[in-house]
Amino acid sequence: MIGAAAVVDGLALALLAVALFSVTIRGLVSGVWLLVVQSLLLALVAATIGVSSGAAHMWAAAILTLAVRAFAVPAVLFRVLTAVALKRETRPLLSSRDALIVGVGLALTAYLAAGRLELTGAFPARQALPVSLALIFIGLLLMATRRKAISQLIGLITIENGIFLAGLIATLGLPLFVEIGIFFDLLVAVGVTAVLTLRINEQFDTMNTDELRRLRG
Amino acid sequence: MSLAPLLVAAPLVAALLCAAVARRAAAISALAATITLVVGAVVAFSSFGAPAEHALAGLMYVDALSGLIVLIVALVAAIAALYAVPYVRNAVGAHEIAPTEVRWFYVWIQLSIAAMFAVPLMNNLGLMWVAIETTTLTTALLVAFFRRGHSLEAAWKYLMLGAVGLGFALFGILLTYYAASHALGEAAAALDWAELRANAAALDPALMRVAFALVLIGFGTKAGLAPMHTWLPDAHGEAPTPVSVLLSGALLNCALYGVLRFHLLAAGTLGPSFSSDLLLGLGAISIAVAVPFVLVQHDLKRLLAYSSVEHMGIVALAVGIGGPLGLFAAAFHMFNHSLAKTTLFVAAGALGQRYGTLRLARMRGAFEVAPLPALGLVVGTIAITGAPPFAPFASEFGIAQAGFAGRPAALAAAVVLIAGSVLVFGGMLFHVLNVALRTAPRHLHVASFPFAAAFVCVPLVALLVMGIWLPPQLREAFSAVAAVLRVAP
Repeated sequence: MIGAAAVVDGLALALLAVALFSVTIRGLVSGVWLLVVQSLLLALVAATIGVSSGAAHMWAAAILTLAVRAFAVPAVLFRVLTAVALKRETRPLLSSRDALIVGVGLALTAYLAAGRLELTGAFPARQALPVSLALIFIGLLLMATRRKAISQLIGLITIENGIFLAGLIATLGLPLFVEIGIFFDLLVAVGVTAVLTLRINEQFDTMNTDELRRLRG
Repeated sequence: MSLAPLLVAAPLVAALLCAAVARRAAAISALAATITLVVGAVVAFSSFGAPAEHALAGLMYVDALSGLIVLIVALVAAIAALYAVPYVRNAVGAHEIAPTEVRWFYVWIQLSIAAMFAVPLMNNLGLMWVAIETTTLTTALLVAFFRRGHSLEAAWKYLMLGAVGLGFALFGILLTYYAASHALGEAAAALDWAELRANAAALDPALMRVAFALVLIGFGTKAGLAPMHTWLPDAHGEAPTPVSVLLSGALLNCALYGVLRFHLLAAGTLGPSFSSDLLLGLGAISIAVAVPFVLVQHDLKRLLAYSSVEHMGIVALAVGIGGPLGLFAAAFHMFNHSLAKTTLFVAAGALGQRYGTLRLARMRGAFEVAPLPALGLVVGTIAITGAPPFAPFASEFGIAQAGFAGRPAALAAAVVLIAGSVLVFGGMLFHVLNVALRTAPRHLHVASFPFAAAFVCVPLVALLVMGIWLPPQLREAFSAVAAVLRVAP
């Protein structure tokens, strides 16, 4: 029988693969679908830990993840994409190949950094902490190199996913009422950024944050 | 029974009412802000003389440090909400805000105020993070309220940098929770402030070092500490002026409050030097970074925004210097900065609506155009740049004095503080006198500003009085804050 820790490790590696894949693609719709996959994997991580540790609030975390991260957030993003009739990330700062190389480099850095931190998590999964750091780094990479507002938002949610994964592994999540607050904020954040994205689109007839380079000094 | 929960509840109810009764939104918002001003003062002043207390079944925690922030938020929110009434009316007249949008402005203002009150009152550090994140979300929409290209740009930058910064802070809180659940056992109490503070010495030092660094980067971004300040001048400059008032006068302090709570924890675990030195360093960097941007500034509200970067740096530096005098002066300075900066933004907003621009080069002859706001701008500038006999001089003098009596790093910081203050004094006064004097342009906009004398003179007189003679109630208040901020050597 495969232990729960091994399952979580497998899920974490799958998360890393999905995040690296999202660095290479330019289609915005596929980008959001990859977020859905990330969220499903996270929900599975929470459920697995819930089964093996018997912690009831892990189930709540899994259900919240499904409802907010896998359903509500992507639904908002898809609606924005439909409203602005936008399909692809144009002219990212890095080509797909270069971005992948940098992404892999960041993942390796995350493994080194996680080794240095010497966290013995509440849950004995060895891959999950380095992967959570890697998700944070890859999210930052997406935010720094993409020009479309939606792509930057995808980067931001990838960062949030990394933090959430770290929380699941290190401490079996934050206290439930804090977790609910964080989920609520995530939902509002996506709503607010969606509103801003639509207004930027109205104003500039494009969702390039490139246009947003006029305030200086 | 503590009145503290009312501070969050009243603005929330007001927000609902503003949404429901569009015609009376301005009056409802002003009334709510007046109520929270009175309640906030009661909560704050009863916290200064008394030991810390819990409210709302342990959800809230009020000590003197929370009390100071509550007092500042209550004051600034009241001025912002009252000033919003003429400002929004003028903006509607100038077709900057659609009449149908007006109520949403007040709804978001009140929601922001509720979130800002929640920050210093939350007992659980996780919920404090939630409250700070909520302030970002509610104010981001306000920054973009004019829907111009520039304000959208500013709001986007604010939202993205703020969210990434707060992500770092959340990771830091997570590490703290991890350290606490190892030391104190798995319990919901593991992010309980009083519990953590009492047991700080038992936490894992290596973890707390990383956790404090992450929280400092995260909340420091929101507090406008350099080099994470880049969103601040854009957001404060582009936002409608009542929002700039809230951001500069109240919100920066809320974020700094988050940093200070973790500074106390980190000092409890690691001893005072690690987090104090980081605060000292970031404070000095913030002052140094703000100076050149003040000197070459071309926009009035951006000028004030960079001055906020400088002053947040000064407060961080003062806490880093520490000692009874340094901490007293830090609390005093936080209060002074909020009062003076609020007046300056109100004056700048009133002038901006008359000139139809905030570009310094096109704002001339303000004393002819609008004497009271011009007076507010000039005297407010003299006050905030730390010139005697105003209160910021007294607080900055105290900080410098504490620095010169302190360790070598503190002495160096005091030198940065003095040099920076002198340069900023010259730069800001040069810009502001150019605006106040010279020949006024012919074309001006119509904008009314009733009760200008009250908005301008009351805070300036208060700053003057506090600079000469500090009332015993306030002296006791800042001493109580200093006692909370004291870290064992």
